[in-house]
Amino acid sequence: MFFLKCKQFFKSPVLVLATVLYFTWIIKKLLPGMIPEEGSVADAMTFPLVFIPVSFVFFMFFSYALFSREGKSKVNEVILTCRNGKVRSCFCDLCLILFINAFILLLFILFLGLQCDKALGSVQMDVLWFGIRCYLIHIILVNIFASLTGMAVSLIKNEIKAFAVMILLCCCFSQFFLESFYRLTGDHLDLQHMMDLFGLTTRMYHATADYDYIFSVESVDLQRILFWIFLVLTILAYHLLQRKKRFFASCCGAVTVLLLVLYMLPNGASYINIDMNAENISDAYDEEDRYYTTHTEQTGSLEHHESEEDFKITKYVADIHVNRILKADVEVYVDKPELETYMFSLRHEYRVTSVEDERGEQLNYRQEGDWITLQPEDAGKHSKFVFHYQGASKKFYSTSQAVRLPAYLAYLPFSGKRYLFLDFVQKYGEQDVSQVLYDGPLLEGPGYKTEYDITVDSSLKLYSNLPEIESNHFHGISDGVTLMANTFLNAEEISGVRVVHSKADPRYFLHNAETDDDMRKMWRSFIVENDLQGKTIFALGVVHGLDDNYRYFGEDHLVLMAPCTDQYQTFLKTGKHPYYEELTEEEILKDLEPLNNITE
Amino acid sequence: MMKRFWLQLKGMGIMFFLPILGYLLFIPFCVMILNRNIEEAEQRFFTAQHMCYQFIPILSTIWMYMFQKEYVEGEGREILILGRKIPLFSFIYWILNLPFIWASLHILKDTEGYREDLFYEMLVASFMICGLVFFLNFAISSIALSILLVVLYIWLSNVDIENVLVFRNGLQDVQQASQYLYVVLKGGGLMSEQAAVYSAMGALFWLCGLFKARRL
Amino acid sequence: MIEIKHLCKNFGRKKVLKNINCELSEGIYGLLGPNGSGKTTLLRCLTNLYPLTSGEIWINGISSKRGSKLRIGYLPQFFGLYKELTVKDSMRLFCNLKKVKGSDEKEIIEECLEAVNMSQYQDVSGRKLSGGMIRRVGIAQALIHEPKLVLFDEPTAGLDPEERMHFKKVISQLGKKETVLISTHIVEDIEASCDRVIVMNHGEICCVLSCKELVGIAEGKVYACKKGDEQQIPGKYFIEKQYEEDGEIYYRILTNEACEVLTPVSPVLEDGYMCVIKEI
Repeated sequence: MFFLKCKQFFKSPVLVLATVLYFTWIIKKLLPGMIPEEGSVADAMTFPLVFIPVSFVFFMFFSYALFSREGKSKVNEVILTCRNGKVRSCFCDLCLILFINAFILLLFILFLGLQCDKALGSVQMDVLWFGIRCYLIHIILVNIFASLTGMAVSLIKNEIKAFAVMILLCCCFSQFFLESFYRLTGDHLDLQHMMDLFGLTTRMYHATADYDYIFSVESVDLQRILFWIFLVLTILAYHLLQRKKRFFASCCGAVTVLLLVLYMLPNGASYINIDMNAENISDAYDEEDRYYTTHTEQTGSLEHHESEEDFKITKYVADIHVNRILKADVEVYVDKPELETYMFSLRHEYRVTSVEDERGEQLNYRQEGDWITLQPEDAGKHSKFVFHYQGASKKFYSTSQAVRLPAYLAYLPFSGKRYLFLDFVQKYGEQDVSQVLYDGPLLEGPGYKTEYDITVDSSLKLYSNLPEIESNHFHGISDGVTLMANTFLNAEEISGVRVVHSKADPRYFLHNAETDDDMRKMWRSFIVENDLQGKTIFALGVVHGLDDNYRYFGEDHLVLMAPCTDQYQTFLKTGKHPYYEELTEEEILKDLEPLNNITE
Repeated sequence: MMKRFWLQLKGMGIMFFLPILGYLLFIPFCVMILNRNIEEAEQRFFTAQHMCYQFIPILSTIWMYMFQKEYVEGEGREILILGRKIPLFSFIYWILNLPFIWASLHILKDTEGYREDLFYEMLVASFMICGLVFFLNFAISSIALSILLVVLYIWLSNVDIENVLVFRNGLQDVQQASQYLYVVLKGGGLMSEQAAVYSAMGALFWLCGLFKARRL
Repeated sequence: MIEIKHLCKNFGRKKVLKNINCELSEGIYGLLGPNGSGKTTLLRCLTNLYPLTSGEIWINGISSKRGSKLRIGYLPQFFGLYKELTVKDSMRLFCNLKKVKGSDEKEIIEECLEAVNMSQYQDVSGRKLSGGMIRRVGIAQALIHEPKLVLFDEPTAGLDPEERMHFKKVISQLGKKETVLISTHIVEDIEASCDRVIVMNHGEICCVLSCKELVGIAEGKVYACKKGDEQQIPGKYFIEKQYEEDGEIYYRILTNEACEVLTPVSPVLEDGYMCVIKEI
């Protein structure tokens, strides 16, 4: 029967022409991406996502045309009288659609493979697998949903009504609709997240978070598309099946509800709504800025402040679970048990659920913005506090896909009242921003050495500046702990220094071996010049569209975006962030040299 | 003739009110929502203009589709003898849209930066699109396909076509292709070159449609 | 044996089938009734196209709700073919849907197309066939899998007189091991092919009789009378048709009341049907 359906398809000139045009369009758009100039693995992975909106429309109308043939040919009644005839007939048509989708997937994989080969010198399985997951979730499953929707719409006998429904559905899943609803939801994140259910065709290729995370392929994305697929299957089961239709429809409906519930659970999936103009969308792009500019009283973000700290933390014992969000149980040992009030600083994204003392008794606490205030009733008796908290940040993500928790981020409670907003005004007061070399402040961590014992429960391999005593279990003394993980993270030894970086970041992995060697040469000279033996360098993947260049210079590790390596030298010389005025023109040009070499 | 017109309107049923709801409720509501947090006058007007360009042309075709569908693909179309009056009625259905378009824009008039030219641009755009619909309906004898093609054209006109289509010579080709999209009317007003071109195109479509309809 | 027990079918508030009770054994049944009497609905209920509002259909002792495995051949009132496929390919598709064994497919298709005189059009695509030809293919597909229950809804609509005769020949070969139900308005087809006739009106079965018995109902009730004389008929009467004879216009009238202006004529099946429908 499948063969006959294929024969029927090939004899239908309109369908064949539409399919040929569609594939021609895909291939023609993919071809420029094959040009070796670009060569960025991350961009190659996400470029095919540009096809999502048109593919959605194409498959909906294509499958409508395919499935409505029976009604138009008046064969429907005969098919319906055959045992499971309609289901079998639809199944064969669906197989044809799946076959076309498989072919599309193959094209994308071929494209990705070729790009990988150019950029990385070989086809690497983790890159390929990430790309396949990306295409499956964001393109193929969306196409399948569109096809099933076309099938459902073909049940409408009136052709004009059917077309009107399909046009309406295309509008519902369009950027326009989503943008309008985002404006209606205001600042309610839950409502926004609910509206994001319609965000199937709005995640385009240029919404890459950064070159470590790249593009979200988390469970929430799968749940989003599966919700819609099972919703349509519920409708189809009810209308197409002849026997036990209520049973199957109920099962599909139950799965739909379950997927909706799962989708609504808190998640830290990172994404950027590049084309949205609504001001109240929280995404990785400006989540931080938006929070700190609207919660000024709770964060003191409008003025320059010095931190207030009247105790120190001597030890952290942290048990961190990373899945959809971060959940942490952190024991904090303080050096001054006699204080009546303890103030801690913890990023506002992490909400404390309880605080206990060493005996396990609940303590009263107040969490406002980035600060937690503890006023234990029996002061002087507490040298240890246990914090239980959970949350997610889209900018500093901690999910099953990737982890970016640098030392300067208060993902563990810092002692004292600290101003955690990383803003120029915060750090430099009234100074002219243009004076600052390479936008962005020098970031500070806890500021003193402490013992850390951190266990991370995650399916990813984590990298940290602390020694790893067991898998994802780190223990040591340091002035800050950085935790990083993602599919493409790679650690390599260069002149005795561990450099941790992403394979997908174009500044690290370029087209050919020569430039790769140059990069290593630059690292080697940087390491030797600055006596970095024994340290770890975390090179963060560039954040899309931002000029942020993070710099954290700790005692045992550096967190920076390449190639900000030059600033470390200046920091060592002067102990402070460099300014243009302090450098001669020659020095500036010399500082910019590594950057120029890479961009060439 | 009035009786015939009345019977046609009655035959549309509740669907007759769809364009009216679109003009008077949907467009102003959407503009209000989209302009919610925008303060710049130019941006506010741009949003209103964008909404009008997206929806007014398609709304102006609804009555024409509903009138012509019986003549194009209705099962009893062989007995519906209207002959020369098909183009006349089609034109009347286009004219019927104009007061509602005016009313819709009048509601939007309070938008800062509003320009009077927008009404004339909508006049030309809806004239051209309705002419295209008239021609397509009788040329391809399929209402559904005609709707699809027109919606596709309106959609292509309102998105960034460089993201959708493939252009060999980049910006040059994009600019050339853009000339065929009715959104070039934006900002031109009634006396602009684009308005003249599109009015002429519209008139040509109407004439071709007239020719096809009379051959029925 | 097919037993229909208290079958009701409603569409919204409208009761289309009201308490249908009937037993169908092997043989050929004709289904007669005026427009809107529920004939097509009854056929669709038998094929499980419509879920029943109430009542049951028992097929060989198994309720249809439990899913009978009886092979049903059905020719709907509006039947078409895929325009893109040839007649042979369409038949192969139907074979596949009806689970005809692949090895027997070719032979069975040839046989069925031969039976409806469509062998020479095997390789012609659906878009090139006339309405009557498509109808013949429809008859062929209904018989392709040797069904035990065959339902025809207006099978001879669009067929020329020669093909109608051919169809009657095909039907006459059925009915020994199968139950065949033919819904039609053409009384001659019923007369020629059917053993028994089911008369339906207003969603109910009025009677199930043999052709002879149905004719017998009109015995003594069918008269001819000159145009104008019908005013003199006492009681209820029904003018079946008008005809001309020797330059005079006559009416064929159905009535229970005889009178001098009425001339008795021999009844035919149509008369019996009209008597049942008009309750004369």
